[in-house]
Amino acid sequence: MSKGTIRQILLITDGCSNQGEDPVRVSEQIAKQGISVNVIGVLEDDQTEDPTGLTEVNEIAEAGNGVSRIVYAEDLSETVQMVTQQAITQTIQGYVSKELKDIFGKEVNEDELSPETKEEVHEIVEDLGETVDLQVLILIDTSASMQHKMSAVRESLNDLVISLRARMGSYYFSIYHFPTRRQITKRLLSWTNEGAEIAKVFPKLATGGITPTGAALKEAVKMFDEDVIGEEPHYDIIDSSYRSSS
Amino acid sequence: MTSSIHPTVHLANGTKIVGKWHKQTYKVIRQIGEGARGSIYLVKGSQGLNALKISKDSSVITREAKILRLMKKVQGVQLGPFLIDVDDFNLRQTQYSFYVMEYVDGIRIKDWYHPSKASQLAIVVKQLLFQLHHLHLAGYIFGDLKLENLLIDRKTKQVRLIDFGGVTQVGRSVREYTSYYDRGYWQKGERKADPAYDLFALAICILQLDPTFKRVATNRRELVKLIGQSRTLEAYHPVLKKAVQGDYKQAMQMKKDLDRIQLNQRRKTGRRKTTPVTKKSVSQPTPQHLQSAKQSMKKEVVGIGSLLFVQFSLLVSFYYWF
Repeated sequence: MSKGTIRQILLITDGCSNQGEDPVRVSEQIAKQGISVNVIGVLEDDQTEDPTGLTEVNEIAEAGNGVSRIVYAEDLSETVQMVTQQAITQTIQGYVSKELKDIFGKEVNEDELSPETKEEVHEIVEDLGETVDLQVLILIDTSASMQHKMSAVRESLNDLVISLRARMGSYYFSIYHFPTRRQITKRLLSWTNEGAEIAKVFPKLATGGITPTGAALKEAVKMFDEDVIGEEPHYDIIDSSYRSSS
Repeated sequence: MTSSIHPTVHLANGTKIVGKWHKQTYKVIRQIGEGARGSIYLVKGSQGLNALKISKDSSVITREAKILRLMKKVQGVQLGPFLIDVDDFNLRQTQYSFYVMEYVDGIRIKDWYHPSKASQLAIVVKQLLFQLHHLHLAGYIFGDLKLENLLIDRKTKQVRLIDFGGVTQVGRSVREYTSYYDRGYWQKGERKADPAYDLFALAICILQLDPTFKRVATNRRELVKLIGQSRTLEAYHPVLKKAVQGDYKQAMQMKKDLDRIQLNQRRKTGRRKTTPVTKKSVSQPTPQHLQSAKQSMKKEVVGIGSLLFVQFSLLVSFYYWF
């Protein structure tokens, strides 16, 4: 089995979008390009764990073939790492299901596999998950209410890099934030695998009032077309839309 | 397919779970744990009480069940809870995966420990190192080693590892960890699985038991300094420092250093407590006592003898209480 690159967007936000396009629709479009959209909703300390305002978080991720979690700022580090890892697994599982479909000529629902078969499939998924190359675009909501959570966000991204570095596969990440005064999204960091860069870009973060999540996602996804420095992108094998594998 | 939702599953007490594939029945008694990857229930199966882990995310169950099965095979040493069954279960039109394992009735190590047990701690840590050693020999590390994952079995009084979700093949990235116990978080190394990763976490576990140890997360580069502030575990400082600096590449190296500490501790406690005993035994008049040179030698021998005896009885009582 040849390996490709998994492409993900990781959106970190604290509430619902209030301007522009419907982020769920945009997310669905992005998933069709083989890029999964993962969302982490950050709660206020006094919010309950199931706030209605954050249901959009789950909807965006679901539409984007991604994973979502709603957590308090203090749990961000572990969550960012876990969501990224699970999204990799999920994408590969989708790919494996498609392969199974090709072999059996019919859709094989995971529910229909016995625990023993599942275990064998899982082993393949885990091996691929460890070795596949990864490209993560991190999109941070920097609307006013996120301001006091920024140190936790920075912390969690530093931590993510520690986890990415430990994998066998290569990785690149880039960081964008929204909203900004003139553009919808602003690049803070172009594709890199240097964790030390994160500390440099964070002081630049300025916060704004509105939350155009949909438009920001739409802008951000274009950045996957930018070449990773010194390396041609070769992300056509594993595809979270489970469509084009050849 | 999607795991957007939290993977925990809420089951009412008394719920009957019938496995889709193996047709075994389990009755829920109560919830005993909940994590980021699923929920654990105490259940009654045909063979008695078991622990059942259930998740909305079937890959979690598949992975952990596979690990538990592996643990069974490791060197004939029982490392993890015994795996009994892996199956699926339909509830309200949704399929959940679960596995059933041996229920370890234990006391959380944090509830068991008290600074007065500092010397017994060495025994517990050595038991853990023994288990980790065998796990490492098999090519795996425990990964998510933390106080919550350590139980003292009420029956055997042995320390047991629970929650094998973090077990990772050596050389791979650690799948599941808790920041505070993670050497990457403390900037003491990579988040890649090697035996030293577990030993680092073990050192943090020991420190966490010390009520005088200050949990300051801000000065991450100064972990070694923080260790110096732990007052009730002073005897362990050299071992803890070596463990967090990655000086131990294998569990057995750490065990050897602990042996040395234990020996020193026993010598100290032994000497203090044997003084009256020594006097008593020497006061017995024997012919040898007429020769002063030999007398002092004998004193030594008796001293050491009684010292050893006290050490032995202390050891026996440790094990007994433990």
